[in-house]
Amino acid sequence: MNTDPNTIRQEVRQFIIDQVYQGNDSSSLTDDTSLIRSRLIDSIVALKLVSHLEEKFGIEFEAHEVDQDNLDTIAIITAFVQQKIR
Amino acid sequence: MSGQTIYQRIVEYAHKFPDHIALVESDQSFITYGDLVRQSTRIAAYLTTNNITNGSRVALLVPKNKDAIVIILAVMLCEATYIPLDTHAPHERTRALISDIAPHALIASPETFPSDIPCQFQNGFSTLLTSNLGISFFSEEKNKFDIAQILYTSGSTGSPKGVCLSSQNILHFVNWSLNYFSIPSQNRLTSIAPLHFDLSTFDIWTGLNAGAQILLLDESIVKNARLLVACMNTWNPHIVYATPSTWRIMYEYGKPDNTSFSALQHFLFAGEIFVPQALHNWINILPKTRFHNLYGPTETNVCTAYEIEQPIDSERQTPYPIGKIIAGLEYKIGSNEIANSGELYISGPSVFSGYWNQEEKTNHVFDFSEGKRWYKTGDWVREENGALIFLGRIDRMLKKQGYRIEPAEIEQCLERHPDILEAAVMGEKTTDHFIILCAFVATGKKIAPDLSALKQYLAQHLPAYMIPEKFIFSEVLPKSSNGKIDFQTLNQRP
Repeated sequence: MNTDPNTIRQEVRQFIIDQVYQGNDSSSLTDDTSLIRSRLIDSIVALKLVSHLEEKFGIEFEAHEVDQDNLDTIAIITAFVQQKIR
Repeated sequence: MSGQTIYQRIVEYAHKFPDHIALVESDQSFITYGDLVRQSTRIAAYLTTNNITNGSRVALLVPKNKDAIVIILAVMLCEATYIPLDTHAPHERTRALISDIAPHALIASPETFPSDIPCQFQNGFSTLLTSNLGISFFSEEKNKFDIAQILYTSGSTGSPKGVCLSSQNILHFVNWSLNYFSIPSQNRLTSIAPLHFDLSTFDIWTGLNAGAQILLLDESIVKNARLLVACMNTWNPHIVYATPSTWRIMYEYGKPDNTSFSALQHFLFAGEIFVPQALHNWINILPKTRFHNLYGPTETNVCTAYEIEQPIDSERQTPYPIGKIIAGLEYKIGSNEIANSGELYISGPSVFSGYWNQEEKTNHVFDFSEGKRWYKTGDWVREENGALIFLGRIDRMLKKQGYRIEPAEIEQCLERHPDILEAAVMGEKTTDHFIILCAFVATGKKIAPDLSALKQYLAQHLPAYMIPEKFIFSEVLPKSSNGKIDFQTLNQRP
């Protein structure tokens, strides 16, 4: 399994671009853009993202971990997934 | 039993079984029927000394917990009106609703209450409760009619409207549901829907009138499907009432296992269409459970019910009927009939009295004929083999995750944005059969606003469920020959 943070970051970013931006300009999306607090993604997209990451990286989120504290920015998600893979 | 109020029945039950558990929170803390009555009586006394009586309006901006229910019971005991507000709504919306209600008392958490709303929290109220809530009093004119509850719902003219429900309205639904589901006392129920949503009438009032134990779940749990299913696994409920979206999210993202819902007797859903394939997923894993489709707008509460016949046809694609009219209500299919179908009209004791402060809108939704007052639901139905089938809306109203959404509210908000000329919002079905909101936004010669900034702008004015999932920007929107936005063309785009 490739645990390079860039791979994880790119995977998360692409998922958000596909699910949320859907062809609109995504150049303002940075690693620190708030995703949940700013309402860029809703709770269903957050759940889909978690399922996607679990499948892609062979990890499992505990119920209490599916939380905006762990999912609010690409940087936070990347760090969280990386720590799970280890 | 039918002559009693909801409150009197709870008192009667508490008298017989004071130690029976009434409400439970997700941290396992609970309150018994005895304490529920004692605490609500104490708060009612406090409210009465502050002139909260018959006809007073009490607005509640409180989290869904034991205290919230104690307070609502106290308001009921004072024969006053309670108005549960969405604690997650943006400040601007809350401010507008409070101004529309003109409450005699406002109960909220002083720390999180918007400081720009004039409010003087009284000392001492929180000592009556377990959580830190404050109360502020105002002097306003009292109601002239019996209103037990006002529930706000999306309005087609751009701002929310308050549906006024009398104690008789609520009691009729509660009596029907007690009878229909014959719920044994101390059955385990759940409260998933927020208190400002009409599904909560069943969870809380039918539940407490049945002597049930009710698990109160707040939004942070409901939004996290895994946590929700984990709570359900621990609680092991007998009856659960939720929107099809919530049921689907639990199945598809909550990881239920073969022990989940093993005690479930009644699986209830309402608020939107349940795609048969998604419903069948649940039916297949819960062979001993009965499945019920309940239908009814906030204005009438449940007015038809349908129990899914088993065994199911697993190939079925067409949604299940909404069923038969419930006891005590009458229906007719409106005169604009096309091929045996038309608008559904409802009459009877659960039909609301009107919209708060909106006489014109109220007159518009009622039809007086055959000596009866009919509520025109705006839902287009057909009757087949004695059951009603929901076909769609006669207007533009949408349902998303069970929430009623008038696209005009979102369009007007978008059109107030400086970079937007005009907007049209429509519902769209995703490949996995969820309904999402699609906004067509015309910006003229200006550059389309940044998506993240635009969503943040909307979040300042609208509840989260009204923020579109999809945006399509263009210079102009297609128009019909009379100059209006051409929704048909938008709908038919590739």
